[in-house]
Amino acid sequence: MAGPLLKEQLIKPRYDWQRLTNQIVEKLELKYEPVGVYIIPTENSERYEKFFEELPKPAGRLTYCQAVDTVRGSTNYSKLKERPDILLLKGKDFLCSAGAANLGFYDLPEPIKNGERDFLLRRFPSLEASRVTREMIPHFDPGSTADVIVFKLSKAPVDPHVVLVFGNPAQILSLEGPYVMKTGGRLQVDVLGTCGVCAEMTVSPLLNRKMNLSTLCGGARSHAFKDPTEMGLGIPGSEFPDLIENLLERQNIPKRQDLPKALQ
Amino acid sequence: MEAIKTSVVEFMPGATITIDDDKCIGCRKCVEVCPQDVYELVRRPGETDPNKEFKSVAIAPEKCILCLSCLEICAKDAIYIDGQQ
Repeated sequence: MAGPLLKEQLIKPRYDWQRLTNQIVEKLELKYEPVGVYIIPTENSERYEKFFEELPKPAGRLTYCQAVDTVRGSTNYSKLKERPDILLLKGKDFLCSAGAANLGFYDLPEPIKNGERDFLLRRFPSLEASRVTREMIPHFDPGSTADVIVFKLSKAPVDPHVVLVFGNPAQILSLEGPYVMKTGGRLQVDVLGTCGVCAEMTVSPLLNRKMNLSTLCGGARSHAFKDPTEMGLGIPGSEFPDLIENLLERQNIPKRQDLPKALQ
Repeated sequence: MEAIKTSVVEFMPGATITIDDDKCIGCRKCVEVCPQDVYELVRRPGETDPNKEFKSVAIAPEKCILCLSCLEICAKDAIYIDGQQ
């Protein structure tokens, strides 16, 4: 079980993530490259964990957003001597229980689930409003996730399920157009400003199968993302190569003399 | 055939909580927001400064559910969970 051929077939990246990363970083002048996220479901964990057993693991607990910030190259929260470009996270590695629960490692602790925690922080006028809001935060089924791998996109060991892009509003704007306008329409965004990196950028794009934007959240900004001008975007990994192609295509506006005569 | 694993993994409460006595002003906010009653306010023995009369103590760190409310509410950055603020 889980021999080299199977590994090759199941997890070998289909896309050149190094090239895609270079293209987006160069085109948008991103400060940090995007982060890829790969989720190992509990039902396949025995098989898949073997493929990734050599990957670095944090040496202490950290929040999900800290793990993302670590691998993208900003700060090292992993408690490893050298900042890793890839981290494999298990439920026990999480310092923030809400983030781990959103990602499907376990069920939310009861005082968070029933709204007490946010109500006590005076965020809501009623316990009910707090509970309902918490319930609506995108989350995977409790216990459905065994491991999450976060990595610098250029170092992708596998095709990511989600790609997280961080940038200023103008940089994020540059990606909305190529995403939406290829087929036309609007981008309905799933956002609250709570659980920004975990729920809004990682879980929501997977559950809804589309790009989502996030202004991040108080926790992420307090624990990891210190630049107040940054916001984020999450996109299903399978849609990322097409997004980059569309981004580059849009820069290629033909000169009038190159257009067919009838259009000149 | 192997059964598909779907069992819910229980969250295990507990954390190492440290409070910097020099920074804590005993404002009681951590006591108020903690949904697990991890913190309690105690009188500092012999303290004459009215602004430093009380301090917060983590009396039940084993009950901590890592909601991080205390870190968010502490205006003095006096609380550390697993060494982090």
